[in-house]
Amino acid sequence: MAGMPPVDISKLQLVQELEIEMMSDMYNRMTAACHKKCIPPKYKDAELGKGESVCLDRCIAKYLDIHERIGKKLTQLSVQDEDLMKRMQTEQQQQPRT
Amino acid sequence: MDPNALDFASLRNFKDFLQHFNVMSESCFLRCVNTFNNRELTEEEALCVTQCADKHVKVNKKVMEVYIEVQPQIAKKRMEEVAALQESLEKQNKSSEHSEGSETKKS
Repeated sequence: MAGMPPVDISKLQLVQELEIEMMSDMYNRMTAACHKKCIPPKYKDAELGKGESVCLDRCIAKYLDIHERIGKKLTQLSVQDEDLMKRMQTEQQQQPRT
Repeated sequence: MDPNALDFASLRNFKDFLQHFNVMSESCFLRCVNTFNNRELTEEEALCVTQCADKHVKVNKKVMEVYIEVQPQIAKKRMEEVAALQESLEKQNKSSEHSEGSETKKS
C-alpha cells in the first residue's frame, strides 16, 4: 500500500497492528453509518424487520465498495506525489552541475 | 538523523494517512449514498464519491497550506509574550532582592 513507510521486519509488526487498528475503526464507523441510514429511531420492535435487514446488507456492500474506491484513489494520488517528489529531487541534484 | 525518530515520524504519517482514509470513507458514504435498492453503487453515487474524495484531498491540502503560514506567526507572538513576562518577573525579583539587601544592612 502506498504511503507505507520503509520498514524492517521488527517494525513490520507495528505496521500490521496499525492496519488492524484502522480496520477496526473502519468497522465501527461502518456499523454506525449503516445503523443511522437503515434503522429508524422509533424502536417498535427488538427484531430486525426484513426491510431493515435488506437495507443493512446493501448498506455494508456499498460502504465497503466506497472504501475500496477511495483507497485506490488515495494510493494513486500518493504514488503520483512520490513520483513528483522524486522528479523534483533529481532536478535539484542536476541543477548545481549546469 | 536518529533512525528511530525517522521511523516514528513515518509511522505517525502512516497512521494519519489511514485515519484520514477512514474519515473520508465515512463522510463520503454518509453524504453520497441515500438509496439502498441494490448492492452496487449507482453511477450517480459513484460520481459523487469520486468528487467527494477529490474535494477532501484538496481541503486537506489547503488546510495544510494555511496552517503552515499562520501557525508560526502565532507561535512567534506567544514566544514574545512569554519572553516579555519572564523579563518583567526578573526585574521584579531584582528589585525585591535590592530592597531586602538594603534592609539587612540597616539591621
